[in-house]
Amino acid sequence: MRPPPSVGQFEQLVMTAVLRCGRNAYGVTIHAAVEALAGARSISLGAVYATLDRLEDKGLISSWLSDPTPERGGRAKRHYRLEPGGERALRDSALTARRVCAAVEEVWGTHTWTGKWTPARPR
Amino acid sequence: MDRKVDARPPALIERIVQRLVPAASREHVLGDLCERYRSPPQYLRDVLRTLPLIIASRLRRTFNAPLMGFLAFVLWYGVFYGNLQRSWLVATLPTMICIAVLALRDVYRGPAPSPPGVRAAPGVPAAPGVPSAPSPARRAAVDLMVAAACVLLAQVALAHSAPQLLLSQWRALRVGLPLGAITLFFIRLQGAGATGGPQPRALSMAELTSEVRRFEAACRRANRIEIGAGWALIACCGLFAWSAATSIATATCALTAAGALFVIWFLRRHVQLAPMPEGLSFSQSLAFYRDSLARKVLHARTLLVWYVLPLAVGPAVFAVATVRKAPSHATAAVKALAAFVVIGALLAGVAARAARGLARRIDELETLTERA
Repeated sequence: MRPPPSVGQFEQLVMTAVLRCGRNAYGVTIHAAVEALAGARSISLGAVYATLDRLEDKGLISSWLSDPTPERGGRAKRHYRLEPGGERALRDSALTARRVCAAVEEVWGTHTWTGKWTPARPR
Repeated sequence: MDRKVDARPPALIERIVQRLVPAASREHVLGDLCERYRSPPQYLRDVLRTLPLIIASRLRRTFNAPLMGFLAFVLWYGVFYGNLQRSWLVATLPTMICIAVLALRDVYRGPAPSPPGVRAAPGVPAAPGVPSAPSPARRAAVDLMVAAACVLLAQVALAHSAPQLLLSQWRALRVGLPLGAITLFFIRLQGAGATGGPQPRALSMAELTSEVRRFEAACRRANRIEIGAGWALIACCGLFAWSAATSIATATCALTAAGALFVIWFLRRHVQLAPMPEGLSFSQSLAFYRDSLARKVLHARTLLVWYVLPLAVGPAVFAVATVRKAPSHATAAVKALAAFVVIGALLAGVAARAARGLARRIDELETLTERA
């Protein structure tokens, strides 16, 4: 089995958003979930589309057009879902992030994770 | 939510945005923008922040770098006569304009058309706002006309602002432009099958048949063009050989014609695909399609051997013989040979990219499921 392609930080955010939205994962909901995950950062809808296209080209997610809905001017939604390769890639990157967290906590202590990010002096 | 239920963007603005969004993304992007609509300024802000990234993403998917490199070479060297102009920049400007226009045409290109006699897949209605697909020949002709019009406009602008950058050498251009236009038309026609982006992973029997027929039609068209170009090359070689002043030139023409004949034979004998028989089951159709794709991958990967090499013998002999006979012409001969090598390398790049795309589709077909 080929190893899953590496994913960047923003790609991780988008994949997590797709996972979180479940069956209702399409442009608007994914964008809202990405903004929520990113915190204070304002994310453009175009950046989310571009990342979704890239992830689809890597084979990590797949998409399909739903039936048109009247509240969107009679236009269809493009739904996304994680492919098995995408789930593996996301799990790998989440594990890496966890290891990074553990390493940072080891040096800076757990109190730095609450509230504003103000790292203490290294011991 | 504070959003008004019936709120919709103004029709005029939406129509303009519809024109600006690439056809492949139009349906869902316009729907998402409509869903997020609060007020006209917010809608315009959304559009301005979204559109450039959508175009860039589509450009990344559709831009065929080796093919565009090949086109740029043909345009600069063979159409605008970059080596005969006052400065290299004179031919570079129209070349870049043409490449930019053709790349944007690819970005805004709609779905690939079905070949004659093949119905579009049922259950997949044409999305509103997505225009019905014109024939590949019409597309190629429109591409060419739009590019020519943009170059003409740029020349008019240059005539007023920087006349030193205007194309000169009109005697050469009178021959080069029509020939270049025909060449470009066929190159665009060859690349008409590519859509960019991943293909669906579940297909109905009708959709699979439609895809196979489209692929077969594209292969047949590509073969016909190559064979036609081969016969044209043989005719040109015959004419040149008849009027050639030296034995080297005659030998070059004869060798090139022989190379072209070999390529035609190979195309007819090995590259032509048998059409998929009617009445096959889904799994049988899939196996047949995979075999056809695998054969195309093999031909694309060995293009240097059966296509470039036979055609390269004549020019190589000409360059070597010229250098040996008249060392004063060595620079010109080496330049011509270098141009040929560049064309060969670019063609190999185009074939390698096509082979990668086909191999990816074969991988996707491994896990393709039948949709009811």
